Amino acid sequence: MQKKYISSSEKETKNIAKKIAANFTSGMVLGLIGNLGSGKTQFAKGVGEYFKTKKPINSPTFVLIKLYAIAQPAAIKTLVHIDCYRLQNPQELLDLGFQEILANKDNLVIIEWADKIKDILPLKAVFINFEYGKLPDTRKIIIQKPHN
Amino acid sequence: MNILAIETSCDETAAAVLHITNGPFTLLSNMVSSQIKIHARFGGVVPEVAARKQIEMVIPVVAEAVKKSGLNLTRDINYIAATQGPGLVTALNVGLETAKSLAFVTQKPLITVNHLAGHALAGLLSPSMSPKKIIFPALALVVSGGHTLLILMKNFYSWKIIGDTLDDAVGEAYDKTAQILNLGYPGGPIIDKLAMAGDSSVFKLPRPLLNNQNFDFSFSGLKTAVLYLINDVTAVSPLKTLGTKTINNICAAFQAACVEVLVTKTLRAIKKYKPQTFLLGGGVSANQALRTTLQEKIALTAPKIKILLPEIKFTGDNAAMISVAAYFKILKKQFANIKNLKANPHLSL
Repeated sequence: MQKKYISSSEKETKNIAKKIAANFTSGMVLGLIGNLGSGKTQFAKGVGEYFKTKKPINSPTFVLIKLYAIAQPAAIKTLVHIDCYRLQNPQELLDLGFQEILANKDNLVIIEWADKIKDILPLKAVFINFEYGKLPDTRKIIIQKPHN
Repeated sequence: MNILAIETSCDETAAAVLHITNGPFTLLSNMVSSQIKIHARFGGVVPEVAARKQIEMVIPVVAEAVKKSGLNLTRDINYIAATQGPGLVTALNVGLETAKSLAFVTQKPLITVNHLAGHALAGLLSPSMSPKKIIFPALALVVSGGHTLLILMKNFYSWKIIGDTLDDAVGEAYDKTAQILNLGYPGGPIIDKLAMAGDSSVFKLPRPLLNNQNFDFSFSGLKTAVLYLINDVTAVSPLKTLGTKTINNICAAFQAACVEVLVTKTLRAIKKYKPQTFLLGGGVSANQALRTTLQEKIALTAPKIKILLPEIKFTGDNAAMISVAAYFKILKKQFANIKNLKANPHLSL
């Protein structure tokens, strides 16, 4: 089962994220898959804006994992933003405490380049694919619902 | 006084010993894991991210730094300093826990340092510099793979971030652009070199947030613009590939865009806050185009400002800059309590 959205700008990618984010709950794991510049970080920024993180989300590429506190009382207490772009293998993420992050049910976990660590992702992970559209600046955002 | 500093916030394992009385800083030793032949001696490669490798290297690197300094750890070193954050938590832990153990065993005060303060103060390590030569307020531009910050300093203890990146750091944009162009890693030095051989006026790339009156940056759109540019150029090229000249010109256009945005925002901040000193730091501060343009433009707009550019060896992650930042905390007796002390990957300035 999948759902498809078309975005025509960075701003629209963010807005689509904000719209979908209403369905995100604590404990969820989102795996974003797509090439450089396909809108993964913009999508994460939109989710951050929806949940009102205390600080705006920016790229986690360098430090791999960034934690964002949610400003208002909610089931989700922390938005965890992970980037696997620089990883050589999934073990490196496990070394950074990935299991603990998954085990904490107060977290909403967003993982960019999730295809690089598929082996260590839970079955319930929701994958979101980002593809280039035919027209410049357009993107296809495809949400793959988990099987169960 | 003599300070032993340890820095392990990301990929590098580094240690340094700094001596200072009243005058300039004297660096007695400065070791970075990628500089010494640790691979051969300890049989391990330094993978880009594997923080656990830091565990293997931290003791050899610290030992080498102390040995090279010619000092005795117990007798001559007065203070132990370490980076507390920001960075990779597992990497930070290695350096901080090592420093805690050393401080505990040798009964010396421990100082925790913010990695970004270290980068901002790296220019103070130049031979002709001394702390007294810094006149406040000062403006610092810290540019690296993880950060793009404009920082206003009222003194060595008051740090205010006035500009930050909304998405990618500038060094990250260099790395990703180099990746798109298949130029290898790290992207900064390669693009800097190719850009010098190219013509920046052949292709036009956007200047993100240039006219936005605040001091924030955005570099992710620039990387995407390069991607589109490559697609357009490849589509019309007879062989469907990019020639050397074209790659040089794309690098030049990309570099011109980055430098223009960084310099324009810096000048705007200088105009507004009227600093007496300008400090540059971080891995991207090794970029020749950025260094030259900043110097020229600042000299034109605000000739009285003292400009401090770090020596190239102090631009990337190093422990020497951590020892400098620690010095100012020592002056105020800002020592850490070893109990309950933890690394903080999100430490703010």
